[in-house]
Amino acid sequence: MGVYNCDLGRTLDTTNGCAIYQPASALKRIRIADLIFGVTGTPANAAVSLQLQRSTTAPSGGTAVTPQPLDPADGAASALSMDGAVTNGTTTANAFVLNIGLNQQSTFRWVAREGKEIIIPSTNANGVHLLTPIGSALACQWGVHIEE
Amino acid sequence: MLKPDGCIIIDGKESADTITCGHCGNVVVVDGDNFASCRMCSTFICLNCEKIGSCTPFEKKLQEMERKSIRNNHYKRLGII
Repeated sequence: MGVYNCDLGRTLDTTNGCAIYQPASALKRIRIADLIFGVTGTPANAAVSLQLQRSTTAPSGGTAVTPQPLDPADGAASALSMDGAVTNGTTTANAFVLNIGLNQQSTFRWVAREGKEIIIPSTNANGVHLLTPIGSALACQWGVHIEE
Repeated sequence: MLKPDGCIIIDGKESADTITCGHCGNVVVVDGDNFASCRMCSTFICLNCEKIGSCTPFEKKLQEMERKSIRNNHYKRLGII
């Protein structure tokens, strides 16, 4: 099992976000094990909300980001990721796998114990969207470690 | 919490424990008694899944999703759907 880092950045957008999702073929289960979020713009003493929502189709219009293996000996990841999606994929109503509110000036990290990761099934184009439904237009950065 | 499924670290400090629901896969930030445990599959579960009252492990749901996907891909190749 390889571990990969998805380095996703975008301007906070209350509608569209970043995504990690399955390709059309060569599917493997994707496990999100470690997630870091921080505002890289000039954060105010104000709220930002983070949501990870399951999705069944791929996003579009953003920049494809290739997950980078932490061990260079590992092969390329089958998972796909996109930052700055212009249009989200089809998100599943109320399927929030993680929903957190925090201060823009904080750096947030979630780490899962082995076997307790967020799992994306090996189903075409299924994934997780990283959304910020509350927040002003500041640059932000997601660092997501995935295993597959 | 004795053995949480994960933890939240804010500004470098461990701020809260989390559980990963064994029935739906959602991450719940532990805040008092806002989670339960399933006696059938011995996992922590969220309160929404506890309300359902039956045990369907998330692994079983994943396998079902993946089986459907394989079947649909097969039908697409055959031109049935």
